[in-house]
Amino acid sequence: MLSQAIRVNAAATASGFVRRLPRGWTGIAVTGSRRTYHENIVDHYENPRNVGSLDKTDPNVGTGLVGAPACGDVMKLQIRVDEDGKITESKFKTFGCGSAIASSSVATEWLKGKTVEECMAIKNTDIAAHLKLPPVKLHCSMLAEDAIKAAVKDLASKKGTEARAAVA
Amino acid sequence: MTSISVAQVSQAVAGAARPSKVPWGPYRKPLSNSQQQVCPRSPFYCAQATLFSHFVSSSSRTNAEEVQNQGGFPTERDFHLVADETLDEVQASVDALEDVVEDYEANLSQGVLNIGMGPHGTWVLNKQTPNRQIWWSSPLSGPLRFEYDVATKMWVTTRGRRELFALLREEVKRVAGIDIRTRT
Repeated sequence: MLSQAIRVNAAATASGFVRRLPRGWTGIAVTGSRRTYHENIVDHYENPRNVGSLDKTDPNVGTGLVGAPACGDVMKLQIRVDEDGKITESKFKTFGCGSAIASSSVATEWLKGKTVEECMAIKNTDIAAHLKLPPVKLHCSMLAEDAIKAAVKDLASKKGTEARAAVA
Repeated sequence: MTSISVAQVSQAVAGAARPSKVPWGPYRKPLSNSQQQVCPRSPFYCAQATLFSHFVSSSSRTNAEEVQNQGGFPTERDFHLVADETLDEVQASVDALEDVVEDYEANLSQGVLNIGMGPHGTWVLNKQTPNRQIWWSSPLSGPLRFEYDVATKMWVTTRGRRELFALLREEVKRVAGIDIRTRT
């Protein structure tokens, strides 16, 4: 269980992100400590869904990269759409705190099967409510929302370029 | 002997203090760069220059990106000074809620201000030093990031340019139904 969580960080490190443990790191997994997280966060943190990468050069893949290594949170979220514009696949790599990992994990789960328009309707408050994020961690859910938007925007710009190329 | 040595010493001192060729002579040699740099200025001028540079340093920066990264602060210490003062002010402003809100609790430590409003939830303001911002988390408006506007000396949100204290007053009004006094 723990190895999967480590893999996320190993993947992030391998892709060139600076490795830096955020403050409060030990508070996530340790049970019985002063700060305890909701089981939904712990579940997604220990068993993150859809960790990985898609080919970012694929015209049907949108990539969103948000956050800053200096701040301790970097999130990469990718979506692949079919001809109908429905999302068939979604992957993420997050380097950051447990809440950031859980937020992006939940986001990728929710994206599958949705249209691009429906994706844009996912709000940070939905993610925060589902994970029962503590007040100070609301920023992590916002990062996930930003990542979704960035991925959709990237896809839209690719499609736009494609359309222009077809016209020309 | 004694008198000679005194003369020698005074000559040596004079020699050290100024160049052997008198600078005000008819064939004045131009001062070298190093001599110009050690040329004393009036202390007032120096103090003024230092103060001035402190306040205008952000505008004198030519690299816009650098200003962006520095958040308008010349150094990290400047950021801490302003941000700590701001968090203190926020805490002082909401202390009036002590008698109004049930289970009110405000605690500022290590750059993190927790404001517990009992049934209404918890507000958290914290310094985000790497990008020189103040992060705000509220049950009403959610997560927001504030950056310092040097021109107006106010903290405004990165999206929408909302001012920190105005937002604070608004949310306190909604939660507790009272107007609080703030600086801005």
